[in-house]
Amino acid sequence: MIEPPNLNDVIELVAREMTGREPRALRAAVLKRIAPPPRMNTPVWIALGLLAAASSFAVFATHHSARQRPEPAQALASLPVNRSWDPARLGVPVVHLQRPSASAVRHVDRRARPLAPSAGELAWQARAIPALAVPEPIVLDEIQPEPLEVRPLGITPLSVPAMDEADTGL
Amino acid sequence: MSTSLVNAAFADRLITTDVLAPGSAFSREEPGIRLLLHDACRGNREAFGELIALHESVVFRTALAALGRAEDAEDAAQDALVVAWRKLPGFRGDATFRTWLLTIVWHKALDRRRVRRLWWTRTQQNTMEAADDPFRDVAGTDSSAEAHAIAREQRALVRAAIVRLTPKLKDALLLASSGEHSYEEIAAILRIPVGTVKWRVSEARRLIKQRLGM
Repeated sequence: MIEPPNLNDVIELVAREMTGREPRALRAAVLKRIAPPPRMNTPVWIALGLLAAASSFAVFATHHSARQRPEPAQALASLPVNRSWDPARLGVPVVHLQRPSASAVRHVDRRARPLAPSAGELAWQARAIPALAVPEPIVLDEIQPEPLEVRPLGITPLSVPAMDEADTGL
Repeated sequence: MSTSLVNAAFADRLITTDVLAPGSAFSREEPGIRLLLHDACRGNREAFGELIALHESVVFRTALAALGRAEDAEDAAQDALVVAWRKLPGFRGDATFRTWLLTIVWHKALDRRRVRRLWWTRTQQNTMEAADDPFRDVAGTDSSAEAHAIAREQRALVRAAIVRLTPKLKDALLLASSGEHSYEEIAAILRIPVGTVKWRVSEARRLIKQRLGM
């Protein structure tokens, strides 16, 4: 067991052991944390290369999207329209839409290049679905309720016999 | 702390600068520290790095006294030094830079200890006393002849008795026994009177002896 006179020394020694360590890389870690954020120091030729690549991609994307889009006037003209269907016969209110003219469409979409329809587009036009048969108009029977019949009520006058002394039993 | 410890790049300026003139800021500091402080307050990271190099040992050991685990002490010391860097322009020099820095370190360490204790009480119901000893991985690192002379079992008993002390007594004892701080500095760090520091250290020793049956 520890001798009492020596105990203070032992406490001192053990307490010093408990805090007697050295940090590993404290200075470097702190300087790293307080360092300013790194600046963008990209060389000029890299920036120019990136700019040229971005410009080329933008031109390609614009050209590609213009080729994919069909000419608006031709696309509208090729739509299958069932002229035998007459909504007026059904008595349904119809909003009449006018097909825009080719010049008007070109005015709206000036950037689209007028191109001949592609083979895919022609094939798509050939697959027009035939019009459905004209449906029979719905006939509505008139439904009229039976007229109400109100019979006059007769009033029978009440007859009350006169009271006499015999009735009272007096 | 002498000026010879200061980086030569800064020491060369000691002769020419007016930072060292009487009545200038940080008059409590030694000339080398004063010059580094002057530059660090103006955003010079290299000067602050020199200040860290001069104080990192005491900073780490102070945090270790509060936390016990080296990993926690490293994190707390880092946090404290980052805070010190941010607050440095507002440092007026009322206390020495070392005391000011150690006060920040101590508060950061106490914050971390509070969080750790909260986490421990919420997640663990460990009744093993040894598992509650954060200093277990620190003990036994001293390889001096004196340490070898003392039996390992005896040191383990004393260490267990220290760990069982209340935080106030343990903090005072460890800071006082670390050999890094004077009683006055401990009083400034803990924000208590010097007499209270002395009483706590004495009381801690008395309780340890009592628990060891002496």
